[in-house]
Amino acid sequence: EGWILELISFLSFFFFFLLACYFLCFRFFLSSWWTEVQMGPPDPILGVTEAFKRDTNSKKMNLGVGAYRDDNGKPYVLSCVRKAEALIASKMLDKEYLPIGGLGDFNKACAELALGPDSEVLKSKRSITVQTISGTGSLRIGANFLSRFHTVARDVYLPKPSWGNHTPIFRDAGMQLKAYRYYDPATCGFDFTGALDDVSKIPEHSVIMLHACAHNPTGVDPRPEQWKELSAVIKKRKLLVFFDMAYQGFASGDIDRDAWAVRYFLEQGHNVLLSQSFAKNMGLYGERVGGFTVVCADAEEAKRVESQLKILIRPIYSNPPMNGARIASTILSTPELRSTWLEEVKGMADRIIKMREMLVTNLKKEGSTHNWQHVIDQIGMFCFTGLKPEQVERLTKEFSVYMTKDGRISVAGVTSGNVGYLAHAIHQVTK
Amino acid sequence: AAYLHSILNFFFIFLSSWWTEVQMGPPDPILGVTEAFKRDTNPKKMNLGVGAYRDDQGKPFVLSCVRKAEAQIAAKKLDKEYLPIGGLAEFSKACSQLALGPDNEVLKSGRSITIQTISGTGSLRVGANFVSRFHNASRDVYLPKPSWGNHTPIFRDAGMQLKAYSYYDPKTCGFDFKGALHDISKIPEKSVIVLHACAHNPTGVDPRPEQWKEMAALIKKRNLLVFFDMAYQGFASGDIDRDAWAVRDFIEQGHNILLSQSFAKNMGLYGERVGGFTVVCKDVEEAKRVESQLKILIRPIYSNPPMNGARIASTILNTPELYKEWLVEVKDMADRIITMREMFVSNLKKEGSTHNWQHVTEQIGMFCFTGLKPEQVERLIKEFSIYMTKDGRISVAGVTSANVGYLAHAIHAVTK
Repeated sequence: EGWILELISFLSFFFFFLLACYFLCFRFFLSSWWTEVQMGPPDPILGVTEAFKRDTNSKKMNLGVGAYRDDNGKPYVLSCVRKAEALIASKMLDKEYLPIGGLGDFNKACAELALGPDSEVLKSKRSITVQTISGTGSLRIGANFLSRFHTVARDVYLPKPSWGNHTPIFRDAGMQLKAYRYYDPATCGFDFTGALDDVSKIPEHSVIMLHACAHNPTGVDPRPEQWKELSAVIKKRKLLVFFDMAYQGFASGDIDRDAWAVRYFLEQGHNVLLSQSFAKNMGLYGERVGGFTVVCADAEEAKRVESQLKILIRPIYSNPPMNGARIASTILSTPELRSTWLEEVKGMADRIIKMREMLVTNLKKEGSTHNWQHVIDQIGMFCFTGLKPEQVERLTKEFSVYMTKDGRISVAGVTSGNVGYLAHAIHQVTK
Repeated sequence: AAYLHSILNFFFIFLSSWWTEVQMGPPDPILGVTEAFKRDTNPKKMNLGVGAYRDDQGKPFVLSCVRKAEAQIAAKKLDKEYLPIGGLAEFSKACSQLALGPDNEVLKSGRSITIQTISGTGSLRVGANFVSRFHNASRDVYLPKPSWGNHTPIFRDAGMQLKAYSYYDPKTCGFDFKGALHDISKIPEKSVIVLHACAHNPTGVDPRPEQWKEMAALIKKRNLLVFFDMAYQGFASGDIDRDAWAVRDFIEQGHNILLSQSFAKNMGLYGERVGGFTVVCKDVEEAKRVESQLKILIRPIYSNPPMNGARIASTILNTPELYKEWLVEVKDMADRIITMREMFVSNLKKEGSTHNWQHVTEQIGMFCFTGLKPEQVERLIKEFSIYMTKDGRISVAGVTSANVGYLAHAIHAVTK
């Protein structure tokens, strides 16, 4: 009879209908929360390192690395750090939470290192220094603090160019990014006139970021007399100064010389914000050791600011990691370790300076007629070679020499073993 | 001229104070407890505000598996190069395996991403920031009432709105199951709901398995985004699998959860700041997209996480003898807490208290919501030098076999 067939087809239809509903619901439920999340752009610097790793050329050089290497191209743990670690281990300390603002002894030593032990600011207790998660953590706390409390202006002025991460740090904290001229590609040096011109036009009360020493990525620093003029214009414009000092001691080899600009600005009456990092100068990279300082009008204001910093920090990470701060604090406050450290940081800075000189000497020997003076004039870990993107690409493809597209090299990646090869390669792409 | 210069500077400094409008922030409530405790000269004083484990002598406890791991690490003379943005890979892998169980389908299919974070707080904040940026369907985060104090500013500073669902029943000092179900059934779809995986902070009140199951079903029906906070795995019952049961069951029921883990308490790594943040995704491809965005989010907060604690935790989790030793030590900590709860109640009975103190032994984990009222708490502080937070929460970790009798005596005195 036809009705059986109809019944069967109705039941099958119904069955498949139920099945479809079930799968739709199931799929809907499994349809995820993160469908709209896009793949983020690859990190430019990481890309360099990954391409480097894949390269099989035995002469390959990684000049993207932002960490110090010894003359054998190896990571370097300072001997004062090893000694400090042994001292700490022998004390069998506990692992109780640090206060929100970090290790008190570290904060004190950190501020003294930057400001100098005789600083009037420290004597009058009109500053607050908190331990932070290295330089990035310090900058972000500062950015968040500005965003919450510096309500008179939203603008942060960065030098052009600046460290790539400055932009998202301030932007994610809710500030607006602007720029002032800094690097002059024509001279591979400081565009002093351009900087003064731009700074003189910055609206009052804006935040201006200054690299205290060893500008990243250019290696171009103002000279003392140029710093003095900048300070005067900045004072006239009533700008809030935020110093980023990631290379104290690492730039010239002398911790006081590298902190000169910060200390000068303080003497001139600027109540600065200051970020410090011990990643490079103590080689404590992965331990994440840094400090954030706010110089205030008086001790009472410093207390108020401190209370608000703690309220800001607590819902980010509660309190900072202890290990690196214990190491840094031990080094800074144990006289023999401190002197060892000063020698070792000078040793690192001197090797960098020597590599700069050898690179230029070798370029000349290769027969290059270009002016490479800027390689020696620039300071710190990085060097803006002035190479163009096409030249950088040739260096990568033909010579397995890796650097970022902007022509920035990490001099830390240069050794007496490979400086000749580097000079040869650079000469080939620039002659 | 120098004199004039310094006067001008003085005026400049005086006039140009940037922070005149910055108010003194309210004092931290828990810190206030500790500071008052420190000033107290009474030899019988007890600090029951402390959120860190103490041994039976009232001293901080560094686990022996931690000391062994440290020695192993020191011997390797490792460098201090930056970790990747997402942290130490061996740690992240072991961390997710600990939470989900090594045979979990999620891990086998690679459809989750776990990154190392700055302990539990750092994990929650990264999660809050991630939700704020990418969970556009809703701004609302539902916390249990009450919840850990820091949850609120974490989500608020990340740009989310805080709401609550009933959780604690002050009448029973237990779980308000009906109230919770009722509130959850009304939560708008796609809102975020925070669940404490075990050892609820501050109450110590956890749902029973059958209650978790009903909640899982209801939450699925309401289509909510589940965010588990697991700060006490192993520390609550003494059994890491038992403490992770709710997390694993929710995943089995098809919830693609967010999960924060902390190793502060269960490994005693408090100040080393070790934690993990996990996003369970639909598939591997989605997990990769999510990972890339987590890195973009983290880089401008702290670039990459601290290495030391992660190396210790990873060494313990990945070295069989150390892992076994750790399981024994975390069970011992949990057992001591449970013993103190039992001794506390039996001492209260011995004192002659007629109140029902059942909740003290039913609650679990480091904290206990005694049910004491603010006036009673104040008397405990003033008359007996026993310090706790105003809400009557005590840290059982601060109780020892030597002082539990005094504690029971004091509590009986203010409640009889």
